[in-house]
Amino acid sequence: MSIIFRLDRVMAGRKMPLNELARRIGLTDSNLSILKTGKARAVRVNTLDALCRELGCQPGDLLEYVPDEGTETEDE
Amino acid sequence: MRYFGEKSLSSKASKALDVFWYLALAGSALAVLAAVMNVFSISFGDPVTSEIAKGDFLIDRLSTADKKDWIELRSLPLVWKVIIMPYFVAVDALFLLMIRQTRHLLANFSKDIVFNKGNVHIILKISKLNVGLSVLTVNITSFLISIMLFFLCDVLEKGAVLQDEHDLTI
Repeated sequence: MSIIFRLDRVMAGRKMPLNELARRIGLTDSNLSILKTGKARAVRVNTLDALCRELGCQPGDLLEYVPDEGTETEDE
Repeated sequence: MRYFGEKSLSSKASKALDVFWYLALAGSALAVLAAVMNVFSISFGDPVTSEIAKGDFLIDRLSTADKKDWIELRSLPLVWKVIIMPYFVAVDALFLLMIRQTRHLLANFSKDIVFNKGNVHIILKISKLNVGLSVLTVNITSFLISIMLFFLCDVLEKGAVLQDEHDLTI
């Protein structure tokens, strides 16, 4: 998938452990782990809101678009 | 009333079917043994096996129509009896396989696993077995139920995809 979730990077920057963040935003550890490892298919706006609130960041800090190989962009 | 999960209808039905499964297995084994003894007139000299070999033990328990069929079957030549026997064994085997698959399905339901691809495969197997059984026994009602089960399979498959999406939406 072209969208990469950079939750691990932001969490490391804030020195926030996974279980602590999960507790604060009301998710289970396993669900947050799914999000962290990029296995999630979709993210609820509520979850994104809670993550941004607890980590003090913008949605753009958590998500990154990486074009797939062979995908044409305007710059090319 | 709860249908899925612990202490639900499916969990009670699962336990009942577990008991029925072992009874059906024992009953089928005994029925095949009795049929072989009857067809080949095998007896060990004791009253029980002698009765089975003669085939009279069933007469009192059968309805008038079944009694007629049973007498007709007994009067068939040995060759025909040997040819017909695999038919009864096939019907019995299909019936047992259907119960086996239903046990798996109910076990999943009692664990609250409903929209799951495994269940789709189980129901698909049950439908196919039921088609076989309905063709062998010439039962149109059973055949129609199989068709409905094929539709149900497709519904459950779509449900499994949605469940998967739901589980991975955080």
